[in-house]
Amino acid sequence: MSSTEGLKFEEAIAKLEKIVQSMESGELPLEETIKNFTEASKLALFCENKLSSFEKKVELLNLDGANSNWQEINN
Amino acid sequence: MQDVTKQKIWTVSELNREIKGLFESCFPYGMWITGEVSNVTIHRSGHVYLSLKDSRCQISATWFGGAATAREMGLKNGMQVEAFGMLSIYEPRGTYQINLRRLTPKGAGDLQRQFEELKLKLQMQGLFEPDRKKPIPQLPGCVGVITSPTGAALQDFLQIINRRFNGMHIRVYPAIVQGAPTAQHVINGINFFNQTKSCDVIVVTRGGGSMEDLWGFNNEQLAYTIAQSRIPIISAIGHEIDFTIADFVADLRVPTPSAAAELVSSHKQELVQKIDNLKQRTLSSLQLKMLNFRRRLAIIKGSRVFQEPTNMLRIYSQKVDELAMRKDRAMNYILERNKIKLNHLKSTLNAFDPQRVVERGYSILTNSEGKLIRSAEDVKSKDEVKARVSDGNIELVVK
Repeated sequence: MSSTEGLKFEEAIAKLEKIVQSMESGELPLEETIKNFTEASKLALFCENKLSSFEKKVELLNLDGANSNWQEINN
Repeated sequence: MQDVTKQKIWTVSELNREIKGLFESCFPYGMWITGEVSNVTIHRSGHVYLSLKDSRCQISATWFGGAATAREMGLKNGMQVEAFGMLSIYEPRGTYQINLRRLTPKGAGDLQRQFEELKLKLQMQGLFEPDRKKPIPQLPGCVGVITSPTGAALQDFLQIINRRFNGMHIRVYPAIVQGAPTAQHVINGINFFNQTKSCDVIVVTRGGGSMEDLWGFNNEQLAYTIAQSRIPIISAIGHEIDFTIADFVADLRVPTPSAAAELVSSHKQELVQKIDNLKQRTLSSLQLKMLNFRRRLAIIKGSRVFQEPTNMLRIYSQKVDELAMRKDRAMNYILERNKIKLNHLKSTLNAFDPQRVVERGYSILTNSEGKLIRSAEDVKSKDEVKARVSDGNIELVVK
């Protein structure tokens, strides 16, 4: 149970799912449940931030020999 | 004999045109022809000139616009081919020839058969195995699209992306996806994305078309490139019914460009919902846990002990009283029984009382030592004995 640092999105959401499942089993002691809840909230926030961090951008590769570069295009 | 001077004098052009008309009306339909290639020239103009021959004869052939296809298949002299074309006269030279529409190596003339053969070959090599398919990332940060930048497929793709989701990074690798250059262009695109690591998932796409239009995707080299790509590849080639080799090798095949867009973009919307759902579930399971504890606590707090502590004492004192009563009852019972027993013993005892016997007129003799005298042997002359009678003792001496 540590921070979300260095996690990939897929890993974070998998971790989140696992925690929710164990919480829902209802077999954990209360302290553990609260700890899980804190961790789950952190992971959910991480995932949401990751999701909204993407900006829309459409680029077309300008194939110019060795110096190919991306050019933004409107669509 | 006819006067030859009165007959029409033809020009060469007139004659050749006449022959061309007659000739082409005799062979109005296209025909299949098989033979060996010779004198082949793949011209810069895009046309191919060659002869087709067998052991005895040959015929000239031209294949207009066939250069690219001819280069792709490696057309060369000596190759056995099957060709389809129309017979024609080439007026300027007065020669007849066949104008080809299609030419394929013999034994592989049928596209469908070629397709099946390549499919079987790659299948044997395990290229279509489900376990070598890479998973499509749930949240591609960047989607690389290999397609024609001017094609309808890209427009369809971007339109869906715009409608569904506004945070996507799309990188388009411009490729020709029609005709002979297709395979090499798509290979270059896949290699480019892999070498530059510039996207998380690749979509290879183009709109629908005939089998010939899509033929470039049935390429063995392309199949290997797709299989070796480290970046997962989604193929969206043609329409629902069109299957190409590339579709079989790709990590995921979707029927249309729009479907590909929906797939990569719908993931994000689903994910937003999924996270919301997970958040809700963590909260409710925590709440449920708390609720359970509160309920248990409430039950404990509501129990008698806490409500009326003195009740417990009352219960105990009641028990003590009850035990005391039971003890008394038991004692009485025992006493009663013993009393009856005693009375019984008393009357039995009465019946055997020696006093009673003496009162009836008997007497009991004892010697000077107080011993009972039961027999005449027990006494001698001059012994003093005592006789007990009902109201006292009589001192006697034996004679």
